[in-house]
Amino acid sequence: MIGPDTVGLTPEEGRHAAQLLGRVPTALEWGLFGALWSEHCSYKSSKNILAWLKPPPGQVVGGPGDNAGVVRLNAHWEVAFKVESHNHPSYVEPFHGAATGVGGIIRDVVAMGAYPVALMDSLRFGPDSARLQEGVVRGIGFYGNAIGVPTVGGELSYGQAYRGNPLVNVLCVGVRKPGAGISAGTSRPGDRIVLVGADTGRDGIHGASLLASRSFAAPDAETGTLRPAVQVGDPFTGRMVMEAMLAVLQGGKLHAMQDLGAAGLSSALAEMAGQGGVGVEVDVDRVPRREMGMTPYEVMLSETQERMLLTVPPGDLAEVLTQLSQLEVRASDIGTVTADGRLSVREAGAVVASIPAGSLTDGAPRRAAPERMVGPIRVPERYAPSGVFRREEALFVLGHPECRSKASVYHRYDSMVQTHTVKGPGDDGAVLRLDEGPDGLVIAVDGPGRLSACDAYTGGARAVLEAVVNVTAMGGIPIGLSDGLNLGSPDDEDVFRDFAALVAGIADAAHALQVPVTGGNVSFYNQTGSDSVWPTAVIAAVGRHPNPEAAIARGTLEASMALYLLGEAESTLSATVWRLTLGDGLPGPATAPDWTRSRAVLEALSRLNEAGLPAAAHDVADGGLFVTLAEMLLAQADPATGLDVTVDSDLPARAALFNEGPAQVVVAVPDHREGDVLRILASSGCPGRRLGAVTGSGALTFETCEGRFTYPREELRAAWLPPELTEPDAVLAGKGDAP
Amino acid sequence: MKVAVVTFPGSNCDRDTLRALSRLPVEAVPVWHRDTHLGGASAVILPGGFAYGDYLRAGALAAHSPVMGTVRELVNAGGRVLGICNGFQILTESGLLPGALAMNVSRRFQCEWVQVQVQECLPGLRFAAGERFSLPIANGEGRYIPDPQRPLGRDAVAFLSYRDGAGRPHNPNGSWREVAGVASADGRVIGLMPHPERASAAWLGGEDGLRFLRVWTGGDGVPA
Repeated sequence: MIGPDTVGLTPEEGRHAAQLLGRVPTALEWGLFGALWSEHCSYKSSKNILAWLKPPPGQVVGGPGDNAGVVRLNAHWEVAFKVESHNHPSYVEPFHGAATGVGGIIRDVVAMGAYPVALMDSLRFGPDSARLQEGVVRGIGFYGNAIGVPTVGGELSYGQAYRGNPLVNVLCVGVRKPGAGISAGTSRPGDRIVLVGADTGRDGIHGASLLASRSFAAPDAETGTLRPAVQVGDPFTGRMVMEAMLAVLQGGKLHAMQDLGAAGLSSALAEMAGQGGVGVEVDVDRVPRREMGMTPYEVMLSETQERMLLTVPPGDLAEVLTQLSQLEVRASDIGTVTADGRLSVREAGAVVASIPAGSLTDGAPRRAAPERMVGPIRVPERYAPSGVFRREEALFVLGHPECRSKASVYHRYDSMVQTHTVKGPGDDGAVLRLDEGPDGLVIAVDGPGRLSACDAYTGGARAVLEAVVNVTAMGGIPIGLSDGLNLGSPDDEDVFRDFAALVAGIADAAHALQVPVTGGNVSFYNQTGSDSVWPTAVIAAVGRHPNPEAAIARGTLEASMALYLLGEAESTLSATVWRLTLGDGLPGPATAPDWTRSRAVLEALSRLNEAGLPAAAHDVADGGLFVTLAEMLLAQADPATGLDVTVDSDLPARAALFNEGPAQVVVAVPDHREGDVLRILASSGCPGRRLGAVTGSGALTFETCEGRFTYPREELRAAWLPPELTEPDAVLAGKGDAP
Repeated sequence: MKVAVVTFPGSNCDRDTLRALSRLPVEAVPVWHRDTHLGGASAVILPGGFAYGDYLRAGALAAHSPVMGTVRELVNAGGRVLGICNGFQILTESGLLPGALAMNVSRRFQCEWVQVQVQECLPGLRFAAGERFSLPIANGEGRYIPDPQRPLGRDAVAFLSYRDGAGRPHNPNGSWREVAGVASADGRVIGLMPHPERASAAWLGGEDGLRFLRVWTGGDGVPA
């Protein structure tokens, strides 16, 4: 018997639903309330707190609440982008969970009328999650490679807190012409509602309400029983639907567009009606099915992938259906837009559900926000490193899973399709060239969960700062942010407080750095038993690059260059990768950003960029200055390139080499431009110092207060590249297939 | 010269190929897989991607598309066809080239830059033996396996092979004898796994692919 409890509603929510209708809801109506009032669809716990992120008027074209945020790049382009998570499905069924995560966010961007031009992934696993990681990586590649959207970067990180709660966050970025956009809320009464794409099956029913909106009781206990709630990805159909939707949109006949994601048709129709202030009436008999005997409940709640909705005036229906048919995608007229504001479902002529659409969307119950927090909530303890630096520990840090090369993963993704990738994976961010106009796009994602382990406010602020620094280090001017927030159960008061602090940190950082948050995604219940993830904010930043073709040369060092450190090293090693190498799994508190100094560093870096000075720039993050410089060296094609630097002699060697203090960037500049660099630093109020020079030694050399240390390139390379990438080619010789 | 670029359902390098051709003095026209004409083109490119999703076997379904009959007629009439990546797989599936492309020995999709070298000169085209190109690969099924019934050296030749930066044989995926590309002995049908269209501008990382396409469309190999 279907009732409030079987669809994931509390008894109180059940009573509220019955009151709204003035009667006992039908089985299908219970299903609709359960799905749309789920945490996943309604954001009932988070909505009032997310209001803190609302951008100032005029800074965005489309903001929070749309399928994706939209910012203006220049007179030629608008950029639609969003981060979305697919954590629970990926834990239950790694391959299809991750694949459908990619497909879902691509459809969100398409629903804004934008052509998807890039993907990035942010992945978190527990230690010893090789099987899970393999499935997720394979799933991302399976979908992204085939649909033809390049995966131009991302990040991969590990922590005990993610064991049993892996995170799979995907960013999709799309571009559209100004004025060419569309949204879900622009239907008019009388329009026909057309369902495009895959036939509807029984897959993914209750994905939103049961899978994504609660915690797992124990590791692996439920992954078997919930597997049918995971959807199956089909990138071939996904590509056909994507191309067809964008092609028919160009015809100018469509009134509204909406993708089908969590809660399938129910959610898509409710959003269309709720946002548009109209009603919708659909006939489930007209929904093409993959299986016999599906009930209206199953049809409305199926999460079958590769489907989208559009609305079109009745007079243009035939033309649009013909065009879709020529493009070889299935399209069915399933109902009509009405003026009554209700979501109505008919089966065999009879009304089987009729609910005021607004009560399913904006009318969903909401949790009150706590008072807005300002500033770090816990004063960091300074973890003072003691003891003398040993030469080998630097190689240990460089080879740590947080720092070592991720090439073995990103080589499995197509980063070049669409032939606009100037800078792809392996840099601080990606640079894309666009077909029209002078400007390119810069994209970066950062989700330093470790920095949230003790103080979510600081973690949220640092995530924004890192993403903005990375865009700037690639030569870009940041223009927008999207946030993917991943936490445990909001029913746990500590988690809920962490969530509020995380959002407050992001809001303060966005305000301090003057970059608008355009929207994002909240994933709660990343918790198994009492173990929840670190409050993890995956921040995507997009920026404008004034000269993308020139970015190809960025990163190439020559022996006539000097190295500078912008920003200030700090003495603590708390929350660093070096700290993780102690092996107790406790990172310790991170340092909150000093906004005045952070702004000065960004200002100086931007002005160096404007002057065309940096030949290379790389932020100081995981593994500290040592890893930053090692990566810069290892990126050089010329094996003779060396770096000779003198670190801050006021700090112990360990602190100088491995601190991860906020807002530090290494830049390489032609030596004879020292005067220009110092002038820009001084006028920006940016602390900074000359670190040393590029040499022809083929080695990385550090002068510290504890002595001079030299690391030949080959030694660094051996530490940085995981074993599977250093296998000799002989293993791949493949002589066995000769006839 | 007029070059047709075929779009199969699931092709995803068709537009990239058209864009690369726009940098050459040729006319390029898109063709849909249901078309049975090539718009008067004397050469045709089967681009990369995942035609029909490649769920059966890469290229297997596309080989039976209506347009493939027209491609065959074009070749018989003296025209040229170039299959890139998935297009190469379609050429072997349709029998226009011998052999097959199997899963890489890494059992993984691989996206990276490789060096390839011309092993055999082809009639009517100015590829020089020993000429090298730096091009990206992006495939999961790129390991060339010869057909014992139709070994290379008769009606088809090992046209391109993988090399390392110093020109020594190198094998990224376990291909038989480092084969990266195969051509019919008359040079009319060429298939290769690397993507020339992805190396068609300095800002993409190189222009060797543009040089490759220039030679294939009848020009010479002098760098732009």
